[in-house]
Amino acid sequence: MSPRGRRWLAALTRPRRLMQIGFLVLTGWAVFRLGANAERWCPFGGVEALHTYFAEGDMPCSLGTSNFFALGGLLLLVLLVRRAFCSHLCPIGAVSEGVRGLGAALGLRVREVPRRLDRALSVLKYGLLAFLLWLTYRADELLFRAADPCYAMISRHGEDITFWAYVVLGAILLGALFLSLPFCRWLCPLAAVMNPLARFGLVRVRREASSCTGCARCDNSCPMGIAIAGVEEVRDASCTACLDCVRSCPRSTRGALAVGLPGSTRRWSGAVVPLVVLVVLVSVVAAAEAFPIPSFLRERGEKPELTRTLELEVEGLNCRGSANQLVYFLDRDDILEIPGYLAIEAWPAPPAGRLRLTFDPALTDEEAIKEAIVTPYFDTFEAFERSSPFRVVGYRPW
Amino acid sequence: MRTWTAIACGLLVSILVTMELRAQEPDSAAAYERAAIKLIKAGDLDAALEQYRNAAGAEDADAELQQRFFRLSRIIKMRRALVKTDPAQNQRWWGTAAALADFYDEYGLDRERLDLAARMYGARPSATAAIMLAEARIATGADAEALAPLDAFRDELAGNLEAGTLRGLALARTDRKDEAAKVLAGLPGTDEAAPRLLVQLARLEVLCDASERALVDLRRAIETSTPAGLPRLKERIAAAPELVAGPAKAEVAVLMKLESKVVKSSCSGGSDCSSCPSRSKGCGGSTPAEGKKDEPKPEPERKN
Repeated sequence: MSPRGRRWLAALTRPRRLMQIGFLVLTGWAVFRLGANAERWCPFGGVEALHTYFAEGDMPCSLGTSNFFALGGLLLLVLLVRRAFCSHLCPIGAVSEGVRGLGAALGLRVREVPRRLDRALSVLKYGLLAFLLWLTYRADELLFRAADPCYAMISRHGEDITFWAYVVLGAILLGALFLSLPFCRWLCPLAAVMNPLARFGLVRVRREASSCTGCARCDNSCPMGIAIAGVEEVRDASCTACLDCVRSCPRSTRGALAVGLPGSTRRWSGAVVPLVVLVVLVSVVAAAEAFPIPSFLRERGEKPELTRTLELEVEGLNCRGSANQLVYFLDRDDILEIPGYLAIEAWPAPPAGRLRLTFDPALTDEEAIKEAIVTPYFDTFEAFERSSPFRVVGYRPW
Repeated sequence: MRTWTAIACGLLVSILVTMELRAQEPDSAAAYERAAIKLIKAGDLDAALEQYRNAAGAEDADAELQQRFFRLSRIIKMRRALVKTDPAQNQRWWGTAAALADFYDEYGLDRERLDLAARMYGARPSATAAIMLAEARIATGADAEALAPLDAFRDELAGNLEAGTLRGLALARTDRKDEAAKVLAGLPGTDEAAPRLLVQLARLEVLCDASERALVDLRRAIETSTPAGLPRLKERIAAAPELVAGPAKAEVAVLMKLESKVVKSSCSGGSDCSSCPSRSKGCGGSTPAEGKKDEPKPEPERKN
């Protein structure tokens, strides 16, 4: 193998690269082979859903409470290893880095952006975050999805993807050919969420001035354009803990650049970052599975002292839209009306979602509730008989 | 050898006979449902429910069939409740009556529908109730009497296409064709008219010697009807003597072979939310009854 080939192989088999490639492959396999909905695990989805969940008691279409676990995991990760999510897991980050590598292989040089312009451009992401949250919170829907580059990449290209999503993705990738991670530095709204916390991240790159020769290779290797050579400790919020600076340092074995905790002289192995990322990632998935939070909540009436709970599996309870329809049938005002207090907790999922109902046993019973769910309702406003799209698993009164 | 041949033949014959007998038994869901519909049309809803119970049991995967079972079960409960309750004392009375009237109309139970419409009109006289009563009276051949409720709300119903059509129909069927033609000429536009009203309008047009217009409206009624509603619409057409035995009966017979042009809506179901046509459009809507529990039940808007 040629020296160049060996360098490539070495680069690709670094733990961080392996994690990026592995996560991309895993996501692609889950989405395209298993038909999974990657949106449900997007931490930015958690940010977008917060308002709707606490104000309305439900989630924007196709999100789930797993998004909150993903967001919680991300914030924990930021507190531990700063923005390591960006350099280890983010699909846009991975592909942008891949494109930049391709550009380098083709001999395209990275265009340097003047520091003042870089600072000015990095403010854009806060504006974009504010705009997206305003848009989402107003509509209670992910209107941004139509132009979401990440969604364009890891979805099955359904009807709701517009041409603009591909234009945005194409622009990001084209930019990555000539610039170092332009989207991640200047436009990523999730980065705007992480940055305020990232300053407090535990793991930091430390520079030992007595061992440093001031060669500035670390500065040149930093994909986020952070000036490392002039500081004792990298506190810049945009540090993604990729540790390219440490690897590029000719005197890193002598401690010129190292990873460690603030205020401690102990140097840690660079492998600690991907390890923490992996542990948090697995914990998030395990926690979301072990402690499922209902993604749809409704409550009506005054809670009596004595209540009873009914757990059902309901076919047709697939998504937020169908959960709203279920409420339509539970809130019926015809002869099958369910009187009194009723609390609805739902975990919509195709083909059958879970439903937990808390009701007043003095006013209604379990059979009446099941019947209300599955029986057509005559809508007097529309003068129209509305069929129920639901079937309660195991309820067969014939 | 002969004995074994005889036994084999005997077995074969008995299997064939059993299969034939089983084929004749009404144990399929479709047969039970046919029996149920027959019983509904005869007014025996309890017996029909038993047939639907058998049908649902025979075909566990048929969700639409189960919906019809649950609907009939609810209708029976409503019918019993309606007898016991006083319209003046019960906010829910009107909604129950409206649902029941819709069911009677769907299954052609005209006599029951007339009784109910009269009760509704008596309990809460209104323009909507007047139209329901007039339509029920025309359906039972009481054309002259159909005019009374419409006259009682003449001002409120001025410019109402459905009321005008029913008035014209009642006039034409009582040999007051000149008056009917005047009513027909004064009717508002029919762009928003629903299929069932277009059928009534076509009947009026035939009686007023405007068969060509009637055929246009009839074609529009069939083509804009939902696929699920088309069989009942064709039953309505078939039950209208003006159309099937009138001067344009040959053309009507041709139109009866037409199919709906409305695309059957279907939920994308599955796990792929990205292809859901309702996505990001606030699907599912809110609950119509929300916040209205303490208000009196409003009268339904008539869907033409």
